Amino acid sequence: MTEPLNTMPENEQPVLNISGLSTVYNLKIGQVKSVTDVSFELARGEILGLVGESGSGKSVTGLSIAGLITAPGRVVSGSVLLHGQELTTLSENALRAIRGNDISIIFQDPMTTLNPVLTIGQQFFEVIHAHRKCSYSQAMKEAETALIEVGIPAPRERLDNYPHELSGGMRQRVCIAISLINKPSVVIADEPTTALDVTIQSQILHMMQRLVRERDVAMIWVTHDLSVVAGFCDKLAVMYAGRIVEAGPVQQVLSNPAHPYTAGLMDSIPGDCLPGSRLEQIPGTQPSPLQLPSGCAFRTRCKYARNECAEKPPEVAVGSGRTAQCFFPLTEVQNVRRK
Amino acid sequence: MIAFIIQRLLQGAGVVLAMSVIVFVGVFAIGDPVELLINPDADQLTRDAVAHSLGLDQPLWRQYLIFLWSAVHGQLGTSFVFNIPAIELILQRLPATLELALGATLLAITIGIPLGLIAGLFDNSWFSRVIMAGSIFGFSLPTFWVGLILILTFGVWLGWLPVFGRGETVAVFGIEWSFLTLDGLAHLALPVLNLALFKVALFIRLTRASVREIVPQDFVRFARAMGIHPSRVLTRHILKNIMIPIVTVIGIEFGSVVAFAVVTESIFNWPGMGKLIIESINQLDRPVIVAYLMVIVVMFVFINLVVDLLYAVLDPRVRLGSTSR
Ligand SMILES: Nc1ncnc2c1ncn2[C@@H]1O[C@H](COP(=O)(O)OP(=O)(O)O)[C@@H](O)[C@H]1O
Ligand SMILES: [Mg+2]
Repeated sequence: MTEPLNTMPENEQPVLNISGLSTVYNLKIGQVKSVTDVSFELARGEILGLVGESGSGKSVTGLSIAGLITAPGRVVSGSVLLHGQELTTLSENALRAIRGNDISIIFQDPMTTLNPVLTIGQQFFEVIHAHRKCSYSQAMKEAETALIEVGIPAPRERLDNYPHELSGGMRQRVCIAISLINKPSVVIADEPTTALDVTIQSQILHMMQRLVRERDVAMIWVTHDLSVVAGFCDKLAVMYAGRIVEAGPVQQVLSNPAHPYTAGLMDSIPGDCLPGSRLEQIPGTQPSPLQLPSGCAFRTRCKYARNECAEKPPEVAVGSGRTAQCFFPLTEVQNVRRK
Repeated sequence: MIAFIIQRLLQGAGVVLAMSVIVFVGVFAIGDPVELLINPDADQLTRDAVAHSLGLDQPLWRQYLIFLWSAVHGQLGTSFVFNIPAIELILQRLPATLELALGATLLAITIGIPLGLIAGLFDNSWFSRVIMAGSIFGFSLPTFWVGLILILTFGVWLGWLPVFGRGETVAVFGIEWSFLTLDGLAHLALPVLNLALFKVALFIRLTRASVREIVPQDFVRFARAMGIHPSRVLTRHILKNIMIPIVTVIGIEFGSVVAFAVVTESIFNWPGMGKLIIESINQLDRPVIVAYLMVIVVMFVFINLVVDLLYAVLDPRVRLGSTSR
């Protein structure tokens, strides 16, 4: 089936190995296939950029990995291996012991992620205490160190603050520090900078990159913004309508996209456009998740689509460690012409 | 903090003063108590004498000033009917009503909040639906009718519980309490249940609505995503947030039970303030009516102050003393 993306040393076992993961939401109006047959691997210290338009299934992928899908959603198939241990069959209690401890999540909106009636220190304590025996004062020492690491000045005072007393950027730093406090080996960051303004965004990006490298954390960086992944991620996985349509080492994918959707996403980044030239846009809109087109879900918007695309597209290798789910992946020549 | 309390107390004093004018004029408009107090056959001279002895021959504004002057000295007039200070009369009856109100509020909290939590957390389960359906009855059945049904069922048919008066009482610090004796508790049971029923329904619905609002929020999802135990998420993260609206309603509801226990007290012949005020209105015992209303106003001002202080304790976003609230 899916070929793993080979950017890790040969002998090292991946920290996280996802294969064939599918999650659906059973709603009254029908079944939403939010995530379909998603596979990828992640090694220590590696950052995977998970990109795609909003609604493409990025968040649901993250939640499925952490076992956080709740009714009416359900993980219907696939496997999630963490250090070789299967998570999809674990009991809720065993999963709970892993969440926030070995797998951590950072959510999008720092304004709503922290509990408004608990101090920052108390929220650290909650997360530490959930996984190990620890006195409150010991927890505060750890929290203080963690706050320094994410670049928060006067950390001791911050611990007695309530969330509303901190700015948005500050709160996201706190969320990051909290989610890293138990030294997880996998972090799922679900658009953690989307709600912040641009300067703070890049500060946090750099800080995250440093922390991930220092601690050898494997990270999934979810974003709808292709422009941030270039200098930041090692690997890229592009999602469309619940599927990973293209994956591979970030530089190669960006310099030579194989899937027309990836190419379309890149053409719609304003910064990469020549001054004066027209900003391309992918025509049409995402199909309703309740009624996806047969075969390749992108074919209704794809300028290269032919009749064959109504069948399920094959997953083709388009270079070392690169795959694309497409009948007619773009060639280098096509890409040159595209520019 | 201190400044806030002082500010609120001054505001409260203003409210009390304004209410005293309204109450005084309102009660004056109800009718002439002299007509009710004396023999209809009495001559004009007797009438004038009675009116003069009660201070009713004075113009309204002077009556008010006299009332205010004595109020400042802790006297809210003397009952026309009982001929003892009105405030004393009310304070005698206050413990009985407080007992009812506290009992009903406690019952409503201890039943209503847990049931509301269950209904909110397990929204789609059959037992949640049963709870919610039950709460509709609690809401819509009239208190007097429920009271009569309770009397019929537990008092008349089953004969389990007394339905009349306070039963045996014990004096603590010179105040008589029913809840300290077994007989008194038995007497308390039905009126408390009667008063609590509506409030149980109210707390069920309020708690459920608050839970349903808090549970989908990001910080609850984050707590779960960080592996915090569900029971801890409930007590530490959800409950702490929903207590904010609940405390307000507890305050208001407690006040309203004290103030409006009239129906239940009448049905169960409970010698509390509600029964006193009904009797006093029937007899146009003006000082008692005025004193009663003043006591109620002061109580509400006090409850609001306590609720505001609790609010600030529970919700760090609330700042005491800011005039924006
Ligand atoms: N709780 C839910 N109930 C129903 N549908 C959901 C739910 N969460 C996500 N979905 C659906 O799953 C699809 C993917 O959503 P999501 O993963 O949130 O997208 P994004 O890529 O923007 O993070 C969407 O079509 C969305 O409607
Ligand atoms: Mg999302």
